Amino acid sequence: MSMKKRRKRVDLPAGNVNITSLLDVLTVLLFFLIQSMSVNSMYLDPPKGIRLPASRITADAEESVRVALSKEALSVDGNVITTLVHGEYQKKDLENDNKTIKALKKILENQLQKKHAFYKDVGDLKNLNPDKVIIQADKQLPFKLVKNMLHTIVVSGYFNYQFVVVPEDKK
Amino acid sequence: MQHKKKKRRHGLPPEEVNIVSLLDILTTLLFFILMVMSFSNFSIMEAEALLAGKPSEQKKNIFALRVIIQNATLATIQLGAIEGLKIANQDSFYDYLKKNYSGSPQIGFFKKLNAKNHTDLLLKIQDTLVMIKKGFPHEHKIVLAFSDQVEYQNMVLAMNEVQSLSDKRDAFQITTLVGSKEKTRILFPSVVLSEASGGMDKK
Repeated sequence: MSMKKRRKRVDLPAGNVNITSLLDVLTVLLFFLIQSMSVNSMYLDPPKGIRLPASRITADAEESVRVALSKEALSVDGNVITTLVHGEYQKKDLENDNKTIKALKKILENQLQKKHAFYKDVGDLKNLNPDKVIIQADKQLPFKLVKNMLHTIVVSGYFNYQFVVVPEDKK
Repeated sequence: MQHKKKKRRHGLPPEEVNIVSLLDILTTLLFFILMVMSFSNFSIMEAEALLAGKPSEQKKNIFALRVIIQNATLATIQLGAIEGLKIANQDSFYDYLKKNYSGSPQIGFFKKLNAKNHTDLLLKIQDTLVMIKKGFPHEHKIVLAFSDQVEYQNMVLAMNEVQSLSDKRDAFQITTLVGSKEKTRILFPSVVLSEASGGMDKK
């Protein structure tokens, strides 16, 4: 009768995962993100097709209507309102003065009326800050196109502009 | 054969730290920050619109400085009538204007600037504005007008350069109207935009 050899059960060591390096990475990444994160209620990412000009100015935006102009289209708060053909405004989109953009004027006037109506209701019209518009335009656009947008903004009742720019080393 | 009962060790050995909750928080925080943060770094440059109005009925002159940028290499500086205005170091400022500008204190002065490229043009504009600022240290408004062919990037750069000197340039000294001297880089921070041929204005 052969003696069955009993196999000794070899106890494997408990699975130890060394997470020191993982924790290192997580902590460093977390502190880096906290350090560099930008907390701004304004969403300023430009629409597709717009490369912003560079500038050394550093100032934060005040919440306002966003108008964006690229070579293909004009948009307000992310919604395209007019398209450009061969880099020009279409005649049907302009008023008789060939300067004012109809759709833009209509939207801006509506926005302004709502804003003033709201402030009037709360009795705070006197304390209202000057009406401003945030402008994002492609850096290669000629002033010929930009001026129509600026003119329409003024005609609609907004007298101050906020041009969105990127830091100079980040063209 | 009796098996010895092994005593089980209860609880963790003292040197081990339970970091499960810490890892939980770190991971959650990390993903939250990654989701909400914006990696873009945008800034804002402010400007005003030129508003058309009735001509002033006042006989008194007001400070009116206008820079017209025709293209990447040509600009014109226009300074309105300055007779009667408060000017720092008036005599030396008048001498400077007579040597470098065309015009007179009664009707105003103008000067054309030619340059090799846009960067050079902006430097020349800045040098001119520094001299004007020395004469009018208390004035902050400037009208910037552009021709149709000027690129938007160049328009933004011009707005930049007329507002203040960059850190690469030395600050200049101004004498205020009360006689105190101070060094500054600020030129004309209140920029009003216009077009060269007419006006983008509300009538």
